[in-house]
Amino acid sequence: MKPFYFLSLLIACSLFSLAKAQESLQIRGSIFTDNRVFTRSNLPWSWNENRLDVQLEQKLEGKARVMADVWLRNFGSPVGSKTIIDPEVREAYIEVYDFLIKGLDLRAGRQRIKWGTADKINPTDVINPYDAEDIWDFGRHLGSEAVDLKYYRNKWRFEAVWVPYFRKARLPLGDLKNVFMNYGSLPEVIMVNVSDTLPLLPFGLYVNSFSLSDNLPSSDLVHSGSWSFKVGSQIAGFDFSLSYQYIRDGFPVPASTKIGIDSIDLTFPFNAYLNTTTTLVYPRFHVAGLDLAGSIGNVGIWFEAAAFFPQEKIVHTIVEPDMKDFLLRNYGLNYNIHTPEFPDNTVLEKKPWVQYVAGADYTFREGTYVNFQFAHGFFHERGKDNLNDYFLFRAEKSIFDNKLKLALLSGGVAVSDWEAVGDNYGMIYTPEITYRPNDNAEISLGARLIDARGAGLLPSLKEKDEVFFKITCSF
Amino acid sequence: MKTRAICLVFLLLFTGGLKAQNAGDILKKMDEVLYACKDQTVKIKMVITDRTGKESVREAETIQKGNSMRLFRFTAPASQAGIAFLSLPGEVMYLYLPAYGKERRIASHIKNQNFAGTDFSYEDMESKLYAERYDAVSAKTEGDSYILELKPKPENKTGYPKLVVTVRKDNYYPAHVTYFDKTGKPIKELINSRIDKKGNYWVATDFEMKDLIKGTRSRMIITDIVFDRNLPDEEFTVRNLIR
Repeated sequence: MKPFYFLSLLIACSLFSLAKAQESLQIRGSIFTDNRVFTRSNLPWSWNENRLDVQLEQKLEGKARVMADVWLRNFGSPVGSKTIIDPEVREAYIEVYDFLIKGLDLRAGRQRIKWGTADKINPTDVINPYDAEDIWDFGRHLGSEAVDLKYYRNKWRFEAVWVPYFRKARLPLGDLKNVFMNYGSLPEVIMVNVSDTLPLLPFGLYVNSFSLSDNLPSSDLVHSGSWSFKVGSQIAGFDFSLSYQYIRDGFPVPASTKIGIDSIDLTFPFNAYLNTTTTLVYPRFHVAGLDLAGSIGNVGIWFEAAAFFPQEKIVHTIVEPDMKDFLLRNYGLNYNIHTPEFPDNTVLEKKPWVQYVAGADYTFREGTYVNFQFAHGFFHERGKDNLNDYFLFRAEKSIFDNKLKLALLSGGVAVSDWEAVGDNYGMIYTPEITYRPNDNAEISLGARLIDARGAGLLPSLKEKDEVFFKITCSF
Repeated sequence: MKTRAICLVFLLLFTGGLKAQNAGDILKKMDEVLYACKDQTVKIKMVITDRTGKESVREAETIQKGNSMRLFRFTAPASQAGIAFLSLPGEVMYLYLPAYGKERRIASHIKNQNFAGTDFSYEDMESKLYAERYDAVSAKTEGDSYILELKPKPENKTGYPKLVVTVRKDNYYPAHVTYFDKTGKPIKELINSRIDKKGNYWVATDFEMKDLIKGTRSRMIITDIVFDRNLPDEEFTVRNLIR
């Protein structure tokens, strides 16, 4: 920790020598409210977030910049009516241009480092952990303490990023925690061998409580740090870049689940009431990336791909409850009980997979903008057999002097099994109307309507149709 | 009779050809005046008026080198500050939105669209020579101005099939440009209402683009301009765009 802060201090001290040549401090930001209700009969609230975003920026005569971005928020839903989230420093960094040599820029501090040319779904954008708190704001990441060096020479750009501390992803709020995670599940009934002379007896299993235990990497550079490198340039009118990253996944996977018994019903039907504790681990990956952006004729196109190479295989083991010991200690009953073993489950194979996004956009002469993307694998999907296909489409048109923006043709289709599409699909329709009464304000009204079957992200949200209303005021 | 007809045809061809050549010369001279400086650094105050007459004010800075590189950045109000556009040779364009946190390569399909809510299109924001994009098909004299009619060259994918440019005779600076759609209807006009000489160069210090269909207008007032600072090419890069 000490060397990192020393570097920041060194940079800060050198900046004070430039203080006399500084511009005035810029303070800007926005006030934002996001309100959603489910479309069920009594229109329950699904989300109410009120946010003050303050950004401070100090430029130093084109030689450096200091920037901070802080959120202050209050949630009415889903986390409770009086909950106030502590002020959150999203970013706070120092940026120095031509650091030590011409063409070398250094940025140090908590920062958001965005990689990738695709639109919102970026397989190579894995330096910062995902901020999946709001499942509909995908593409949002948390800032990371990092040192980012960029070197520019002619048309070439070289970038190296070091993130010394691991920071895990932020999971969704409320009851949507499991949308991006699969912790596994227990069977509803197990057959228990109570005695050699009796037939197997069925026991219903009920989980009273479910807890997660983070097995975070140790706080040292070897286990906690990550490194990313990128080189980019332009060829035949296309911007391209190649990257390599050694990172730790911000999304955890379950490594073991220990099952404890709260109580057992010894009258028929027999039931066992359990508590489970799942230990989560954060696997390491090597990631090789490629992205391209340019145009063919008047059509903008982009392509981004990332190959993930897991460092190890992870198997989810389940430690069965010791019913024999429980009955002996709590009821004085000494039965030679054998509970069936719960099979281990491989949650991450040590086999590579590739996620990619291809997209195009075009603006018609009369002003309608269309954007189409195909994504193989979403940001939370891991493993070659777990990647679903997504087709995303958006058409926008501004009218009335750009005061009203209509995005009535917007949504997507997901397919999780091409061999049985009818039973494994998801469709989402996301119309939106945005009104901009002036340069500083924006009011949006829209909906998210889902129809889905089978497994996957959209099927897990199919009962969550909602309408939303947002206001943003910038200052 | 036949000889007279042939002579008349040759005369018409000859004079028609002379007019076209003069038009091309005028256009070329106009470009030389517009892009006379090596580079320029400009601060602008922009007043955007909607069809109801309501105004919004923005401030911006722009740098330009020659006629192939331009970087434009809004500096006020807060909601627009930091939005920047970079235009480079070869139809390479980038847009930077601070909220997005990254530059975005934009394709030429956006050229016909208005930039950031103004009446200036992305194409208008480019700094290319008119003579590279248009042929001057005719020229006539009206008072102290030349009136040029311009048609796009075949390779120019523009939203303006025709321009009529009023060029001042005294300094070859365009005082007025009318943009037409494919039906021949005027859709926009650019009025350079104040043209001053700053040092060795002529520059429009107060100009306005009017959208004749929507009834909106965007006026740009130059509050500060500096020529020939020897801006390096590095100023016109993505690196500088995202600062």
